[in-house]
Amino acid sequence: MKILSKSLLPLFASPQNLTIDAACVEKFNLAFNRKSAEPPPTILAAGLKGVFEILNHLEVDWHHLLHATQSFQFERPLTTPMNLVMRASLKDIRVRGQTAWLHFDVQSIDEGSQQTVATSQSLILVRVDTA
Amino acid sequence: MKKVRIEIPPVERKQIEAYADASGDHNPIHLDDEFAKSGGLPSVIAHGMLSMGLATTAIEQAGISASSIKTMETKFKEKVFPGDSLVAEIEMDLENKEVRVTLFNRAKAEILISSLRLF
Repeated sequence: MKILSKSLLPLFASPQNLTIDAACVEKFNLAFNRKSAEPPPTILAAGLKGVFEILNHLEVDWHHLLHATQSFQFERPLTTPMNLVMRASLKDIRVRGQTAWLHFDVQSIDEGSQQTVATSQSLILVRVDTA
Repeated sequence: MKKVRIEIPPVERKQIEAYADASGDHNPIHLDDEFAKSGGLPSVIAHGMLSMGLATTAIEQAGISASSIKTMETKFKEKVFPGDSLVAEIEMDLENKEVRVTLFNRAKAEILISSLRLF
């Protein structure tokens, strides 16, 4: 694993595209035991692919990760169809003892209007000393 | 303040696989028992975001539409394993457009706590 320090910041993932349509909603519905045609708010978890890209870049051991908190803020409700571009970035790193706190941010932008539809934050804890 | 309790059927492996397919999160800790065991776990674990999605489904079953959710903040507290039955305890203060849901497992351990604000 790379040495986790603020000198790495900011760190950006490649943009992820998400098309929210009936098929996409149905895939999440299957996992969530859900029947609604409305997109579930957690459909934006698809933006975590950018977070994982950064974690892989940092060569983090997946055994030593803990997804501690997750938040979503919606500027407007999600609808179908909707094409989003999701941009993840690592905003902050704090290390204390053997634990690193990684603060990620994902902006979900409507491809057509270029307006932000939602933002999300993830706090991932990483055990940095596994000796 | 209205309180609702919703039973969630046991989480199945096929749900975990469906979530991996939908989200693109194919981390082997969710899909490969051997990988999970090599890290000291008894089996694969469900994605935290799957648990959050199940909590949201319970909120919808309590009468709140997904499109009315403005913010959702979740703290993950415990892991969910295949076969775990969950219970959602939902507190709704619709006058102030606030909802709180706590997900428990059968051992009454808190899985997650979500706080929501509605449009």
